[in-house]
Amino acid sequence: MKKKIIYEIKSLYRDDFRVTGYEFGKGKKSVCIVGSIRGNEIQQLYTCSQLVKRLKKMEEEGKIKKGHKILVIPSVNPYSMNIKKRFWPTDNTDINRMFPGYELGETTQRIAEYHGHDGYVSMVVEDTDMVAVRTKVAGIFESAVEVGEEVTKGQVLANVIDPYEGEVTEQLKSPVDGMVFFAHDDPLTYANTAVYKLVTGTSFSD
Amino acid sequence: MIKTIASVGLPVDEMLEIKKHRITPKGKATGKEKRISVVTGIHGDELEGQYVCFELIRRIREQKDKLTGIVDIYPAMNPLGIDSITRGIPAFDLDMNRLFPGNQEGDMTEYLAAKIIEDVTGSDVCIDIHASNIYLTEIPQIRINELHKEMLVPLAKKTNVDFIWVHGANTVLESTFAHSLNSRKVPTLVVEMGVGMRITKEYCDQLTDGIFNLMRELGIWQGETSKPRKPIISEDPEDVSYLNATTAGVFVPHVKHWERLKKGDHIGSIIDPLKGKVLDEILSPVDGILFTIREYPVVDAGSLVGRLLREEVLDNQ
Repeated sequence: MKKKIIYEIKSLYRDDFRVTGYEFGKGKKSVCIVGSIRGNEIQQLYTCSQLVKRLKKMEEEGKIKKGHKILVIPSVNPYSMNIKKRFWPTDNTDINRMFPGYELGETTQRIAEYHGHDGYVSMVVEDTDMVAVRTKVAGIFESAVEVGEEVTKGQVLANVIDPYEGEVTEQLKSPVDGMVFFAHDDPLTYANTAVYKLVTGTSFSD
Repeated sequence: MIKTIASVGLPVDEMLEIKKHRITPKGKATGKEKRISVVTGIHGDELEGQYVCFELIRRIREQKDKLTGIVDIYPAMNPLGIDSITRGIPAFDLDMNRLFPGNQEGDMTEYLAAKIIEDVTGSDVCIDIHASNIYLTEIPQIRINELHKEMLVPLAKKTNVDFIWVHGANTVLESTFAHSLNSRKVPTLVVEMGVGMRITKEYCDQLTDGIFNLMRELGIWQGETSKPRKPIISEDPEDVSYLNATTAGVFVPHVKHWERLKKGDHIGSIIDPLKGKVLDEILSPVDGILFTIREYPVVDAGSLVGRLLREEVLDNQ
């Protein structure tokens, strides 16, 4: 394992901004795994930390294929994480809307540029098999399903409740057979909000 | 010498450090030097003090041989706040000036507050520079609680501010930095000047002149200083007249800050940009001088749009 600072910016008021990467194996750059880009993406950070722990062990055991190098970047944005803010501390920009970046641009464009130029192959996810379920009305959001749960067409996913009078103002039902891979995580919802995203199909346990 | 007075590790690969710059006289210390502490940046959106810190150091360096005491400069009490344009302490969403004296055994924010108090304690005088907020612009002034006026008013008079406002004891906020230090007999002057998120160089220069004058009075500085302006001192709550918006709208001022006004003078309008109407005209309720004026245009009913010092106070000085 080789820990290296991929990008660094000096700060007047804070510790220097650092993007840290962990390299495993030797040879051709084969895969890059990036964790949190936004400050509230803790799960992504945790996942990468577990990955670093496992890869370290695997490398010691000689289990990484010869001629291949793996890079793990647990966080591209420790500054936002440390102040519990989703986007960049000063101008509120999203690093993930700055790619491919610009080395002479605004701060987050620079971070994106450096980061994107590393030569690793990004994974592309197609969205053709995804269905969004949106609210029609705003109110209190009461979910009946969780992320990862398989649902059938017509199954009740959630109720939207009138915040003063308690009546159910809308019942959201699954338009397809599928699996919930995204669920709204806030007790309030606005109207026309995508509160679920489903992957269509069945038998995900296979 | 730059020293870190408090540091804590943040969750992801970062240390939070609060730093100070100590300047000491040339040659060997006698141990009897007086010490002034200049503190700012408790509110992350108040930046006027940043320039004062810079200017103080710059001028001391120009005539280092005139320094006969210790100057401690603390530019950023809330560094995460300044870096992220956040008034309070980010993540905790706490007003740092409601945490003092803090607790060394407490959580991160309480610990930082306690370390700051520990470090500043022992100063012969402390100046805590604030910059109002983003809503109001203030003329350079020092605010003093009645409880500590005997100790503080004579010092405040040396600082070249335009106005000294002595507040009643019933409005004391015990958890402020200044109150904690004043209660520990460290005379601490709270300066309010300018506006949030901006630097008003003219006010910063004015206060810097005043700090040098105060340092000279205390025997910390032997260089030339300019004679401080004579401040207006107000101790009676009746001296100050408050102007509040009567309705929601957009406030557009018609007068300048620190302008002398007659009763009935037009201070500004509250307008409705949708209907193209003037919703209310704000008129001066008294003869006086406008020492606070609203900077941020959007108001609700009740929003403060200005504060006036009555003419009588000016005449009595």
